[in-house]
Amino acid sequence: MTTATPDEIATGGRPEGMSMPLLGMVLFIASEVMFFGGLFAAYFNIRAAAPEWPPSGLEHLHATVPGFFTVLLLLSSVTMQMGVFAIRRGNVRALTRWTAITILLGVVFLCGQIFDYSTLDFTIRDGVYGSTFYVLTGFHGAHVFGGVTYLFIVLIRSMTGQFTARHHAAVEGASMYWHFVDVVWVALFLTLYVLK
Amino acid sequence: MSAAPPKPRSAFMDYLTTTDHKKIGVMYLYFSFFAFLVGGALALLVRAQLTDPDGAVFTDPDTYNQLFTMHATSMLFFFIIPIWAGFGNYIVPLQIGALDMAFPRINALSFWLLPAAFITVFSGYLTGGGPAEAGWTEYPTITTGHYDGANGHGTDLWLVGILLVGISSTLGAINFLVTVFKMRAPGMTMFRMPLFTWNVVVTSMLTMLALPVLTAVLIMLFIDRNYGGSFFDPALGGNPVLYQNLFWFYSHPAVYIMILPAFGLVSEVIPVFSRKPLFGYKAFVLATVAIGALGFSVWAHHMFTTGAVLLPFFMFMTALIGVPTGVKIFNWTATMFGGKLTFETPMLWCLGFLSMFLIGGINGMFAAQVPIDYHIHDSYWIVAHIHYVLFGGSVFGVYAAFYFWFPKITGRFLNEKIGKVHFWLTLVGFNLAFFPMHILGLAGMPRRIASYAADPQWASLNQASTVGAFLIGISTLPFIYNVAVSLRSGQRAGADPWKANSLEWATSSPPPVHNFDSLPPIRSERPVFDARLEREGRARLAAGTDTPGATR
Amino acid sequence: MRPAGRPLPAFLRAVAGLAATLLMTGCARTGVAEPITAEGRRVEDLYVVVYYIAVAVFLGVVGAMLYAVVKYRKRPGDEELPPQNHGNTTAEVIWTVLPLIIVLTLFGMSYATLRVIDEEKPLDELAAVVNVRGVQWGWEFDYGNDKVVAGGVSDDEAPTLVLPVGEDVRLVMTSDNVIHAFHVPNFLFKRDIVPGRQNQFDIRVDIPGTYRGQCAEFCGTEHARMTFQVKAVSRAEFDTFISELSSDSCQGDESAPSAELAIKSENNQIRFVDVQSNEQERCLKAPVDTPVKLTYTNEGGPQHNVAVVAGSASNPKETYLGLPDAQLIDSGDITYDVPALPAGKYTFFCQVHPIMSGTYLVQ
Repeated sequence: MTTATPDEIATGGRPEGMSMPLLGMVLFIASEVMFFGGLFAAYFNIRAAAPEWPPSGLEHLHATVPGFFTVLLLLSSVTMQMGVFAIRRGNVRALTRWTAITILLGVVFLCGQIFDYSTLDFTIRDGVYGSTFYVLTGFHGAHVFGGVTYLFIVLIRSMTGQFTARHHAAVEGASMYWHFVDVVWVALFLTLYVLK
Repeated sequence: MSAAPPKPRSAFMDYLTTTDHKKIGVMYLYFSFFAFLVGGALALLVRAQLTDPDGAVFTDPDTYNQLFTMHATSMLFFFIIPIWAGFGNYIVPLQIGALDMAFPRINALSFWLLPAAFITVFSGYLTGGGPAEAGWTEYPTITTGHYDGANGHGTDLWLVGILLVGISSTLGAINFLVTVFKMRAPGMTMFRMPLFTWNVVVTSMLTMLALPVLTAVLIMLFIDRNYGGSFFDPALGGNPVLYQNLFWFYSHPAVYIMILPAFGLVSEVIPVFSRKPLFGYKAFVLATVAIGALGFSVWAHHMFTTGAVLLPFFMFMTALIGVPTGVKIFNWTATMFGGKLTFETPMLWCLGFLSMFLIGGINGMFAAQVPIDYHIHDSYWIVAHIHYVLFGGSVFGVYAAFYFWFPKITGRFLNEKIGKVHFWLTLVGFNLAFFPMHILGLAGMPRRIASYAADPQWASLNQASTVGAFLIGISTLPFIYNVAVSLRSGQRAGADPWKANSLEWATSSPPPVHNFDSLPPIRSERPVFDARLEREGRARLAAGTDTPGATR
Repeated sequence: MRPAGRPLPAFLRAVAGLAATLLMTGCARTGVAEPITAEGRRVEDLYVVVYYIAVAVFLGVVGAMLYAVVKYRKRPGDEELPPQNHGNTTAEVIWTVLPLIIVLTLFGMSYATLRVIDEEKPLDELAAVVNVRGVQWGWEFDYGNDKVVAGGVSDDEAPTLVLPVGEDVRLVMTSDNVIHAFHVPNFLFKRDIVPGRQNQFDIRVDIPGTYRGQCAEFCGTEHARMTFQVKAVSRAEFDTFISELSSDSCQGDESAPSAELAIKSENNQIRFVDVQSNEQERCLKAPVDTPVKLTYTNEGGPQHNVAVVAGSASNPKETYLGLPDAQLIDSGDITYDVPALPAGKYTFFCQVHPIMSGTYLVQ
């Protein structure tokens, strides 16, 4: 092995494999998985110890409407991935379009969430059912909101031509984050709305 | 024709806006040491109170309860974890031959979150009810109810502050990991990395995976306190033990976060001052990874007395984690065997670390046996254990790091004579402060009590402990003096003043902004040693004094 | 250029190490509270085993360190590198496997001891079942049938849990406020008292005597003073104690019932006292079927109120005066209206600090 030149030192010795920002995003997602893990652990711990679930006086959540919005969110992961494929081929216009559609679907999902909240007859103050439901869905919603914001920035950057087939780390990162948010929602949906 | 050079910034603005890992590292060191002094002052007040069974200083127990809470908070969250982040920040990029950390701006954010968090937590003292006061563990239901104590805003400020620390640490961990995975110089495979960097890597993995769980549980506590949540309220279907499970799921790996960098540092220093390589490098790496992994499986040993724990499993895993730790202690000792030892201050601190941390590991072994823990849990035995591993272990490691790396960071040595005074004062004071606590714990003295009028015979041991604590306080003075004096007029140090092994010693002291003008070839875990050997060998051959090989 | 190291520290360390060693191998049981139960003795035996292993490990490692420090210190002028030994796989295996064996052996011994300690006896072998309630800040020992010993920081003496010597007793522990822990050093045992959980354990005290206990889980302001006593007496004495036990704090109180009662608390105190004598007030007497005006004065300090219930403070059956009508005050006077009550024994107490309680006797 030869001595490293100043150039090599400056640019980092490991160009192969995942780029640094993308690796950073992967690790960040890992930490977020643990965050939701803590919230899920709380939910299952409390639910397992409860004599009945939902606690008396509360109805089991209706899954139909949230189910519809779940499909939309899953669709948005598809559209996001289409955008990634597009920019990998260098198609900036397609990326812009797919990103815009993804944002739209994300916003519709958030509206759906708000609508769902308005139909519920319990709040966070109503015992452990309310606490666990709102903390899980609330933090997920916050993550969706963060994702939509990130995607919005990606959209602007895409529209101003900042991405090419070789340099679009932010898009890859956004798509990874968006898929993560989607997976968490699927787990949430099944746990909170479907599991009896 | 070029424009006039830009006006140099003031040092203040420079440090305020820097993203240079070296400057950020130095800021971490200053901030964390300040938090150490704050936590230490609080400890002295705690110890002063306990010189008399009725409580010598404070008549109001709430004041005392705030003291031990804020002492632990300052020490754990604002001193011992960040100070190793500081040394890591400065040293890790150098040790891997990199230019800076992977994400320099996020690095700066990680640092600046800390003083903001510190101010948030300590502003509890400005509120009517005072700061957090239910221990650094802040268990519900005392922190969730309408119960006396821990109801004021101080606890909420504490929660927000610690959440900020969590963000700082998690971002820092991701930064360290990407830096080490992606920015190592050519030739530096993972198994040629210095042990300090290895330990920072495992520490960062622990932080990244465990800290978010603390974030989750503190948010739940905040919701219980302020938004009518009932996660931990049994009357509404919640479970106080749930808090403990989630809290300790983080806080146990946290203690490895606090000690692993010290293990790494000791693994650097002992080989240098023994003049031979670390004994069993691969074993060390494996042991470090094992400790990191096992560290996730033992958390409920903090909860043995709740009656809600699968005792055999956690007792077994807790006992098991002693094995890789023992491997490390044996390897450090074996490094010294057959060596040629000198006892400059960094080495003294490492010898102190070995013996004191050993005691801490041993008294932990007692607590790992559930039947014994039934007696000593929540007693002064545990306080002894905590301080032998954290002070005798990690803080001794911190001091070793200061004496070892001060020449690299400043270009000057810390004074050896003062350093030795510092070491011996600390060693004596520390043992006097904490060894008697073993006996107090066995006798049944619980922790977190503002007075002990029911058992006046505990007084003499408490008084001895207080004398020791004040001795520790005094022992920080020669260190502070040493730093102040040496910064100004310490003996100058070159690039490699200790004749050491890793890449930080391959550049000037202090390093240039870009860290390296060139790197030696990296063919082992001791590139600087290899290069020095080769250089000296060539010099001798050139001078005609034959026999290439082992000389310095 | 490196400053020279000196051999003197090694010698001092050797001396210090030797001294510590001699001190430590002296008495293995030093400091351990004296066990008064069979389980406690087993814990102490386990402790002794771990102690000797601990001393052996400590001596071994520190001895090796000191040996290295003395034997392998660099001689002045000797600048040759020592052999650059990188490690030894056999050594690694040995000092991984050996500690593993020690650790597993210890686990086995601890597990066996644990089974003995946590073992519960069948119900019909128990001499008594006592409900232990932790409150802020004190204890209630409920022997059933309304026989309760209660006390805490509001009293001059710690409450006493009386147990029959040589017989198995079950302690069932609950809390409706915060987490406490029941710890008797001479039992070499403690167990948490967790709201929402019922923790229980069986104990048999072998040696008659009075032993102290204390709350061992931080529970707020007066955690340090939440003490109690355990008194192990003969079976005959225990039976007598139970038969004479009554939670009527008005026993021996000679005052007459009155429709206008007054009570106060002094500055920063967690107790009710008589407005004239400043002695602890444990008895209020009211006339039958008459509404009562109860004046409470808080001379400063924490908020208190006065509630009146049927049952006990931690186990109320019906509330006749309580929040929100019985407002909290932290200074000054307040007058509460207690409704007319039929004859009987009730409890008055502060709803923030239920340990401030006494008997409200209607006769």
